[in-house]
Amino acid sequence: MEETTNTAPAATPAILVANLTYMLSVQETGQTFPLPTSIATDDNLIKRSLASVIPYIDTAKLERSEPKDGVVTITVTKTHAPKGAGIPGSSFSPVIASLMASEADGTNAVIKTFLDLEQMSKEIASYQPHQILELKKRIEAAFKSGETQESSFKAIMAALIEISPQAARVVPVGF
Amino acid sequence: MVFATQRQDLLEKARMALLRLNPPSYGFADAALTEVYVALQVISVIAKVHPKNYKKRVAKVLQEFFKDIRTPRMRQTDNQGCYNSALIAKLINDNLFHVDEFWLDEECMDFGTDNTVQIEWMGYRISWDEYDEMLQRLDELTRAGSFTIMMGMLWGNVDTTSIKEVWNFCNETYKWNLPDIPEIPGDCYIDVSRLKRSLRKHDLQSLATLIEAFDGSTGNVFYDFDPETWMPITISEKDLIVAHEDWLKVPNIRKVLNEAYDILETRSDVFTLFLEAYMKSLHPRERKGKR
Repeated sequence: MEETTNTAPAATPAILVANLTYMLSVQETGQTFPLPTSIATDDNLIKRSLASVIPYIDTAKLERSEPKDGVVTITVTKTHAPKGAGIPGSSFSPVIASLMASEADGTNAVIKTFLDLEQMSKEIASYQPHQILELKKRIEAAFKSGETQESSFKAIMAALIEISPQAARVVPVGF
Repeated sequence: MVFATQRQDLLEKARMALLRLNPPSYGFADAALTEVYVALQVISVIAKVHPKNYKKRVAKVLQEFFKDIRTPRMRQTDNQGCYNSALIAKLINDNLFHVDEFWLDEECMDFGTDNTVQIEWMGYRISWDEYDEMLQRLDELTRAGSFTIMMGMLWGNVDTTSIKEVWNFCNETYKWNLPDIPEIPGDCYIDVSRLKRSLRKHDLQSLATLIEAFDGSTGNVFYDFDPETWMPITISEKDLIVAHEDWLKVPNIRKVLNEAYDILETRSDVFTLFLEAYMKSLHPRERKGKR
């Protein structure tokens, strides 16, 4: 049976640490500089220590090379961060949260009712009068809300077409 | 056999699942749903007016309708009808009242975009064009047909320069026994009750109904409907029920009108007796004085 270890995957086994030298290579600028072993063994420590020097390091990708002549090179590659809305505390967060919590799937009520009816259409042929009455009410409600939604979409589309483009005031994180 | 049924069920489930994954546009769904809604309205009314056997009446057509509510609409081309709408028209025609035969055709009827029904109107109302055409072919009329010409003249629809000629021709050809054109006082109206009473004395009351049919005032939509000026009936349960109730009265009215035509063809004194009653029923219009 294979043994499991508690060592972090990104860290180099402790037994080799003493004999290695670590170099940090920043891919974006082409800079290379040595790192103290006490920091270099842990990615999180690297990120915390260099946050003021490399602003994007928090979301950057760190890749360790195989030791060569006792030197391990840690390459820092810039990656796109989640857009502004993805940051906890962002002003967009409540919007995202409410969208995620929403039970509706965004389908127009008329289309949704049509799809539902299509699924049960064969049963409708043998409905009793009271069931027909209920179904009629459901369709009436779908027409009402679906029409409102469709009008809103059309109004939004018309407005979006009409307005002129504007530069954003805030640059989303990651750009 | 069992395997075949299971396979069929499975295919049907797969079909339905695929349909669910393919939502239609808003316009398509709106039209298809409107068509379903009209069908449900019609079923409701049929259930109300035929409570004992409505299921038997609607079952077959409904099964056909709800077998597929998408494909028939997808098949239609611009400004064409829809198969399922023609099925609804058939339901109305077979169970509530007759619709115009033209609209039973799936090439024409589309309740998804036109929520109206074209009734089968009886056509006793005569348009100006039809009346003019009759005047052009005076010698081809029946005796009953000449009654229409007489009414037109009494109602002032014939030019004063030719009225004498027309009257004399009809009087001689169709044996009215009325050599002189009556003088109709101006600004007067027909007291229909009085006309009916007078005609009833001679067993001619059916002629009063015929005049009402010419005028479009029978009170029955199938006789009063004027396709040139009336809008088609928008489908609602209330209007469907009213139209159905009127349709139930159509056979009686038709019987009376047929009787009127028989009388006009067979009784020699019918024109003289009618004109006498008609003249007696005319009342001068009372005008309220200005304050």
